[in-house]
Amino acid sequence: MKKKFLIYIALVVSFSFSCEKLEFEPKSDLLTEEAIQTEDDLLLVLNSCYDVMANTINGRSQYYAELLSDNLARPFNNEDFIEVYNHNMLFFNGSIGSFYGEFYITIFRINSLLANYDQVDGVTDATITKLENEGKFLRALCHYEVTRLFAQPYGYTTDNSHDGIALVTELVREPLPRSSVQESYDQVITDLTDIEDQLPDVNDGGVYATKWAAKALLARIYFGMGRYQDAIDKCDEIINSGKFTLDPSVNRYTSTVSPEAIFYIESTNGNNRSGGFRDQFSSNSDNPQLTISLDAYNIYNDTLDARGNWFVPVALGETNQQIKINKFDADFFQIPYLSLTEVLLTRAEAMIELQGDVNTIVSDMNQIIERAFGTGNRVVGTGFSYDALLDRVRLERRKEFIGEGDRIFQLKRYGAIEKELGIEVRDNPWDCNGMILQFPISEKSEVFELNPTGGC
Amino acid sequence: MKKIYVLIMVVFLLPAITIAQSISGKVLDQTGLGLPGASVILEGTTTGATTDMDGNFKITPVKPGEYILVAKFLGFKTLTKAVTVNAGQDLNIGALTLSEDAELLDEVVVVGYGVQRQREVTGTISKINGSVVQELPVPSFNAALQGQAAGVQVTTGSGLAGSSSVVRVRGIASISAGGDPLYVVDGIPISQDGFLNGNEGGMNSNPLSFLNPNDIESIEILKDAASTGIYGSRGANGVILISTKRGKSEKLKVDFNANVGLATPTARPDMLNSDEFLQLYQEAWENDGNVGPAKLPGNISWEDARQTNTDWVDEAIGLGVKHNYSLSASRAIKNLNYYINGSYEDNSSYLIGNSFERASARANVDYKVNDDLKFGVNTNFTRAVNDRVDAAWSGGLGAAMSTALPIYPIFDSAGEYTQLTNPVRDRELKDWVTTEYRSLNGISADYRINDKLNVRATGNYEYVDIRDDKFEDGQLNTADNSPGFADRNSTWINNYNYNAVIQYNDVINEDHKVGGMVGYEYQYFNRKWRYDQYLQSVDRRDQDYSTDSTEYRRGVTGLEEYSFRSVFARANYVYKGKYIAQGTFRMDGSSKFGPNKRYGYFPSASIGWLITEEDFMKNFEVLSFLKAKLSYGITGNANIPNNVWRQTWQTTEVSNPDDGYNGVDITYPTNLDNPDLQWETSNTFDAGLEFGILEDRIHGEFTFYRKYSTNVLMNLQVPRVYGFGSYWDNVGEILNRGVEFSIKTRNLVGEFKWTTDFNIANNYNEITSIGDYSEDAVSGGTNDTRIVVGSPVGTNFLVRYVGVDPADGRPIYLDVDGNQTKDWDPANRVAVGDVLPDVVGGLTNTFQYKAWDLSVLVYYSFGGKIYDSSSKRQLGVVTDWNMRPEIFDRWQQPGDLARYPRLTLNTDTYGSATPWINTDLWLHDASYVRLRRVALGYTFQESQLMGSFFTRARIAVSGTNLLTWTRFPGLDPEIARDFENNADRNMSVGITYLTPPQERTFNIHLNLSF
Repeated sequence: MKKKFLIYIALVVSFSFSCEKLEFEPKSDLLTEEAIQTEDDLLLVLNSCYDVMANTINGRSQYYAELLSDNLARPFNNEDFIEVYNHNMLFFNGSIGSFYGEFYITIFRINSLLANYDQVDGVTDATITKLENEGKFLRALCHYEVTRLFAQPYGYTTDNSHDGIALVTELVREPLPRSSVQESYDQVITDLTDIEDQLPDVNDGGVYATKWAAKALLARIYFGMGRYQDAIDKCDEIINSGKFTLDPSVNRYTSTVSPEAIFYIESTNGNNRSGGFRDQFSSNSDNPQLTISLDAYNIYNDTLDARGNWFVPVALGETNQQIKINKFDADFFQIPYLSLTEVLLTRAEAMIELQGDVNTIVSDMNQIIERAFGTGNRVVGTGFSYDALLDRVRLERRKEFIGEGDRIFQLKRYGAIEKELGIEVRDNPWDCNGMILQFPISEKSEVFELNPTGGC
Repeated sequence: MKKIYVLIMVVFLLPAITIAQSISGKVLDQTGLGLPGASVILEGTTTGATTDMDGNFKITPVKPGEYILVAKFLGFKTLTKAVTVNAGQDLNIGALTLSEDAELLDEVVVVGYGVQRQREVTGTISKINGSVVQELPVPSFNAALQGQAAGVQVTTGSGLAGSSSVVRVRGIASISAGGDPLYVVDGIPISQDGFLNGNEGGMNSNPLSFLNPNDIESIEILKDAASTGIYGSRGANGVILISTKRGKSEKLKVDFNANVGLATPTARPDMLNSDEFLQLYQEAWENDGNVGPAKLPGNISWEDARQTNTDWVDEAIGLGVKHNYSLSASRAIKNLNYYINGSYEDNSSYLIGNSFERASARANVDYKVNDDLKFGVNTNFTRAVNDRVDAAWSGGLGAAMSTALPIYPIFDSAGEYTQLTNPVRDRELKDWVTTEYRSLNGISADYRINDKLNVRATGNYEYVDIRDDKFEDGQLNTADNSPGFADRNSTWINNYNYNAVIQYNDVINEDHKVGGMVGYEYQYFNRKWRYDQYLQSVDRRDQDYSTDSTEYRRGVTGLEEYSFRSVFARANYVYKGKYIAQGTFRMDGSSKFGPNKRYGYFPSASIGWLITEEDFMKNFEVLSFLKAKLSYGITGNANIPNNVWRQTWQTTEVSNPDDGYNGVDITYPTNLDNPDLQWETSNTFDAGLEFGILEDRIHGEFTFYRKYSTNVLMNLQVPRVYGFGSYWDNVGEILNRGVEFSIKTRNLVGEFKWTTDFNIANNYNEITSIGDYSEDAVSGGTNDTRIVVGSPVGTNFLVRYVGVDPADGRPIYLDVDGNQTKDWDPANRVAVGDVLPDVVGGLTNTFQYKAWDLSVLVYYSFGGKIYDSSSKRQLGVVTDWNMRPEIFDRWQQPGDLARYPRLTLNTDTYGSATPWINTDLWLHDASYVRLRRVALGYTFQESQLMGSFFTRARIAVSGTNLLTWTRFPGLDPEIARDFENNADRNMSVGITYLTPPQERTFNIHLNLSF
């Protein structure tokens, strides 16, 4: 009896022992060897880079930039937004902290792909080229967005030696110092020029990187740096390609892809990337967080201007005044990040700055003007002076891109590149400390200084 | 016919009457006083008697024969005496003198994987009788441990029904890993994750609420390494062993308990009314240089605002009603003993719409096959239904204390709910119920190989099924134009373990007694979860969820697993009955860590010396017992998420339209790997002195300990350039050092009895290293507690506030160098306090006079700070938050000396861009003394129950949290708010953020036995 019992115990224990495990494959997650087996897996990782990047320029980058500018009224009650609006952001701003992180998640994934694709058997050269080219495009886009939002602009110092951002071009596990703004721009431009002609002509519409997206981004960057001829050259290439036509509507933020979208964030009813954009501005809301400043609203004082219909003023002139905007009201919409409208206005303004061909300038501007005011209305002519054209193109640019985050960078360009005096944003100078976003506290280290605060 | 029947009765009964025997005597205490109400029975029979007022008894009739007489009285040792009754004899046995049951030292205590005699224990263990936790109306038994054991700090959860408490054994030695003690119920380490639903609704889940306190026989709290070492990798924060009841009495014992009570909050939030709010709002508006009427929050017109005065606190708070019923039966007959119980309780809290309902059943059965073989089965099934309401930051009473303004109406002129902050609308249009089914089961086999050796094998299985159903009417989500949302979060847990232990005990001779055991254990745990959402206009709670439904919107599923495999051993040696040595060892392997660090080794050694057994102590008669103990050991903590040591990935399925990008799947990394991640370890030294005085009328224990924890597991916030926000690493080092003292005195032992239990503990806590990281690398959630070297875990890291500038009414702060500034900048934060109390303890006085008993429990906590985090909005910049009347003490004109600065709507006035201005102005002394419980009971004497159905009946009334003495100006100084994660739970007890106050209860208890 006793022996039998002990034998049973021993059998049970030894059987159990053989079944026991001390390592489990995660069921909700995959291990590296499972996730990355084939060339297709690498492409899914690349798609995830777009996916996370899309969470930065799906409205967030746009309205954080807009909050810094004079286009918006004080946010309704979102303190993170109010901090940005007040030009006095603290390192605990959670909205900005997570927004900043998304750029580096994108960059990490790209660097991880570029460092490890050779460990997958049978990867074709075409796929390697795709990974490298589109990866560099996304890395440049992310570095550029961080640079223009978190560092003082190009031209802030004469040699652009002022603090830029952490440039991450390989996998790291230690804090990185901030590069100078010159180095930051150099890295972005190097990444883009490396691949601008390597990227495909068409890549699933404008959802993924094309050569035109790279060129349009370069045009924006050059324009901001005051490299006007380089900007014009890139714009020429895009316009001359004939790939894009102006949207007949003044509103590019619709559920269908605008024909002028060069690079856009794809949004569907189920996978709605525009929800944040919509919810902050929605004119259907009683109290949207983001409304338009009276100063900006007043520039649309021409009844012929179709863009004036974007606004829904409530209790004008009273203490509870709200000027809502319906530009982003659709349930879901595609989010054009680079568009033909921008290219036309960039070329026109760059050419004005260089006092270039007036016919081209007028033609570019009138395409935009006539769309807004109707054929033949409020158009500019070749007889206009460069100064008059400059004022008008700047006005049209501000009008076209309201809510889209362009305004603050133009104001900074006026100050930093054009050295215009008295450039202010709601009484704060364009170059004061709070005119850029603050890094999250996680970045602070022996080698990384946060942005200075106060002074605005 | 009737006459014949009477005749037969007389014929048969007459001999019995004429030859009746009896046993009589008197039961006395040690002082010679008679003990009334003592029971005297003949063992193995139901024949017996109860003593009268003088202690006399007489048992009759008794048949001739030999008997064992058993005399029992509460608080005294049971006495047995053999007697022989001859035919026709009226036996008077004289006096039976009972000695008081002060001899606790021969009591058996449960230790890991076995039991030990108290006198031979070399570790530090607090034993708490199950009866202590049974009459307290608490959401789970652990809340009732408050004040019962030295060095065990219990912070009861908030007034929410079913809320969880925070228990800390000897301070806190963890930062990001779970810092709770390990709970083991009848041998199974139960699932104890309080974050299954995060802190949704402003509340964490309570993993211990499933256990019916009436089922608990005893609770042993293992504190030092000598006692927790046998649990190795999971013992670093203490171990709490819960043993459930088993059949003990040969006679069937049926117990019925009923508690009925009422609950109110210990403090009621006092907020501004509409006129007051409007007055202060206008003052702020004008202070900022504006003219005319202020633009009011929510764009409400002044006319409407003046016509409204909603008391949102009144709308949130009601009267809680509690019912609790428990019926059990137990018996121990020859080969079988059993305990079965069924219980039901329905506790509504003082928050309208909030309740916790629990029905549970238990059966514990032991069957003895023969002298060598015994089997045991425990099974428990519980159904708990928590009717949820939003609280704290999520709404409800929290909204009433913040963004629900008195100028906001509940209904508009059309009788519809208003769309401004409206906690009544949110509550009424939201149906939120968490239903939990949990079953805990165990089987065991004990086999005696010979007199010295036996083997025990056990297997345990826990199953948990939690459904969190939330339905939100479409009116709550107007922006989405949806018909409504029906959400279900489902969780299923399978948790089993089995172990085999071989025990050896041998008394070699008078001088040498040895014992030991070797064991093997394996535990496997898995948790599956699923989240579903439906777009629909009706509640879906009673339906099965189907992904085929056209209303189905999205769903997520997941599974996690972990396991532990362990071998362990314990060896005991007693020399001459007075020198005791014990060693334990455990090796744990766990899936929580990678192959590089999969196994951890946890030894402990301890010695004890029974000094009073020495000859030289024989003359110290006053000192009846004295034992010195020393122990040292290493224990660990592995309470971290799974798979954090390795890189993992996720991939989407394009079939779900919410996933992927551009209709194409995505694959992405989810974790930054750390293959060298390893066990957090604590090195604990313990020295103790246990004593008994005056034949143990006074019994106490004094202990000193030093616990130094290394390789502290931290989920570090890293620079975003890493591509991730955080990752796990072993970085920190923490010191806990303290003294504990507990004493029990039997002050009066006569007819009027008075017993005092007192305990006090001090703990010093200090983080001694956080590697190269900054204070912000780990944070206590949003609570502004940080890890600061040289300060305790949970240090308040805040900007210092000086006061109000009388000239302009603006607040003045200190910068990091101590210079005054009017700019508030978090870069100026310094360590200004900590949330850990210096001294905690309890004092229980129990009085008994005849049938009456009175128990008074006082709990106290001294030192530490409370950070009243919501004050910064209730008493700071004027915003869309309602304010508290203390704000009347504000600066109004130059020269004013006021506690609070000038009112303003503009954060710039306070030198900040945000109204979230954390300063030490909101830091308060957390000390308090609380009348935790008063209970007055009456136990009916057996003589009073004679002829009735019952053998015991007791009725009692009690009140909890009746009085609190504190300098804390807020609601309630005992705070365990909703936490975001384990780091928050470790670091942020004592932080309040709109946290509902504790409840005060008034109860009636009824206990019947038959």
